[in-house]
Amino acid sequence: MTGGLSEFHEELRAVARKIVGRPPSALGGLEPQILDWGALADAGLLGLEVPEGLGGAGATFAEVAVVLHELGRAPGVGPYLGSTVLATAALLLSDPGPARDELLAELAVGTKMATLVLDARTTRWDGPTFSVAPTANGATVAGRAEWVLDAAGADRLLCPAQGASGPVLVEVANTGDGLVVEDRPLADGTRRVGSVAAEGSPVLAGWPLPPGAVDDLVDLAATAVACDSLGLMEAMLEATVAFAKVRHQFGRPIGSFQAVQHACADMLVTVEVSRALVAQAVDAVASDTPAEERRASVSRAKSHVGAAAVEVCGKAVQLHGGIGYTWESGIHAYLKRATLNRALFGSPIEHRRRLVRALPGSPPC
Amino acid sequence: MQVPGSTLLSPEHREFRVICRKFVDERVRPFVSEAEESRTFPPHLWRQLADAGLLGLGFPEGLGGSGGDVRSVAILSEELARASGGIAITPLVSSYMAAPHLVRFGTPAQQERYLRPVLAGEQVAAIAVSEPGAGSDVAGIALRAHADGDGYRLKGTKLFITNGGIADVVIVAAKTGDGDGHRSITTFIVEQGQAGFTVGRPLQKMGWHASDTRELIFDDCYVPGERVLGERGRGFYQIMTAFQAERVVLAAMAVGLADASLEAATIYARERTAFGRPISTLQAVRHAVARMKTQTEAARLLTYHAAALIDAGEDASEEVAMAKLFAAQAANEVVDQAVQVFGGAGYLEEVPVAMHYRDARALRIAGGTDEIQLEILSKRIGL
Repeated sequence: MTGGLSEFHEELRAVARKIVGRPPSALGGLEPQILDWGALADAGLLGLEVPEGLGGAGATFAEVAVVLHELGRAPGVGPYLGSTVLATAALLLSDPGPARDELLAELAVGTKMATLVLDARTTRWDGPTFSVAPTANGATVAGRAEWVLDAAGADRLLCPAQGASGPVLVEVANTGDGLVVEDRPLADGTRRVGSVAAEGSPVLAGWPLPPGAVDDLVDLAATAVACDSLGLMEAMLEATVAFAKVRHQFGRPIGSFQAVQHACADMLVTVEVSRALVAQAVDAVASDTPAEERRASVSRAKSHVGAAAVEVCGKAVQLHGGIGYTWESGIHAYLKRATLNRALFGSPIEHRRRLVRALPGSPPC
Repeated sequence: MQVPGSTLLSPEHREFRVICRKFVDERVRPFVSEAEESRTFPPHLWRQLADAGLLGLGFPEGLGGSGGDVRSVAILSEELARASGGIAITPLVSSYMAAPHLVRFGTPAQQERYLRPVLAGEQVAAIAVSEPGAGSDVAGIALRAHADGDGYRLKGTKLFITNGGIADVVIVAAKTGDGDGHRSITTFIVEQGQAGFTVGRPLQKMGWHASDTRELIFDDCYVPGERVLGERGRGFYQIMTAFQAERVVLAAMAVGLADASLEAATIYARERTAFGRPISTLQAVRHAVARMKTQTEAARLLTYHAAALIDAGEDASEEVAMAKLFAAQAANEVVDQAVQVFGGAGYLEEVPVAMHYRDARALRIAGGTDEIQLEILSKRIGL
């Protein structure tokens, strides 16, 4: 990975794992674990990318990726993706100023949560679904978006919107003033998505959106989800291997059966291929890689890892046998999150299509 | 001999399988190596196949047929392919892919002259549809037939024509109109050696070595009007109708090839020892063979089901497409796994699985590729 901070990654990983990491068997119980937001804030994990002057660590997406990976290993409920990753990244693309800096500082210490109002099924941004209208003493925003990550719990909503002289990012308070945010139930109990409908909601602040900024954020989001999926499958492989060593059938550990050994070996191969692809995508997003090259890296990773995680988690269910099908095992939480991850910010088929489109002389498809 | 059982077969079918297996074991197997090496179908087999009634299954007895139905043809295809795909495809093309055109669409005179000798094993037939620029896309053929007096002159090229160099009679699809390819194709009967008709050298193939595959060149080849087969402009539909049984044959060949590979792998797994014990005691091998058996049986049932529907006079378009698709893919997977079970030995020419491995690949392409079957199904599903 790039960045001068890579030597700290192991330390960062250890810190993150201490806070969020629990072995999957400890996931038992009917409710998913809730992320300890205070502990994440105290450890500085909410402000990794926030400049040091604003209370953050001044690090890069490469460091955020380390935490995302750990969150995948032990999925819990909390707006890390929506607030810490996407909202922060959107603000960092905006011009500095008091309003922006204040919100960034609050996100870094966890006193506020925000989200980027962007449909999480997006692979390519089609332009804003919100528009800004000037008023006597400011502006209001109106529009609607579905599938917005971590919308319901956010204090601030950052909406890409059509302004008088081009796309802007506007900040809206999630206080119900002309705004309706509705949670949408998901099979995956660890993520939250919702719809956001604004009708004349007051704009607190706004910044011009640089060209291509939202597409860059989509790439970042897809990579973040790929990191999460990598964590999911890595944890499932470890849990399965541990289980195969202790679970006895026919008088011996099931791990002594070739069928189980080879299935685990296949999982390992899948995980390692995914790890290499994700590392490349993280590197491309965190560094100044040219857009085309970055996009290809992201699509390679997301197209492969999205499906691979579902496959590995599915194998984990199979190898755990009846236990894998129980609620108490917690394995279902991984399978469901992997399934949702596969669809977020570009399904495998959409990313493959994007890769094909980028080939020289490829026909439109 | 263990006969694969199926609720879709009658006692007569099972007896017929015993006859086929005996014939193949005694008359065909001894010649497989030589045929593969010389890349030649053993010519003496034609008469023996005819005498055993294996060239006229399902044809009217008045024309030299020998009773039986589509399931019988499937059983024969399966049993022949167990020995060699390259040998199997040769008579199967002649009798069950080319000759049906003569039965369905031929005039009594055409049947007397061309069909009877084919069913008697005295002549060989071929069907020529594919071209350099039109494989699966039958409506896209470019070979032209220009009207000339009472007949036509054929100009163009056919490619990948099985039996092209050994056929006495070739059924050729040509465009007789400028319009939509579906309505401007006519089939013709062409005789080997007639003026304007030449065949290229045998095409060297990855598999099916005993089978003869050629390019056919028509250079203003004159075909008299009485050798138009079927109706002018109806060729596309005639070909599509014949595809049904043709694809059952290919699916059944896939089943036979998979079955032979499964059997060889099973015997080898019991005999071969590694790590101090037969490899059949290793789960990776046991489970692989069990999976091969399941795939083979599933392919067999789909194939028999499609054949039984045709025998019952029902529309079997979907079932035929599914059988062709699934059986060809299953055979490729089963044969690949068989080679893996054999290890290094599976890569040697002297074991049959190496031959089956090469031969299986043709089945996902010939008679409509996997993708064409998927398209047929997609359309039938209403997508």
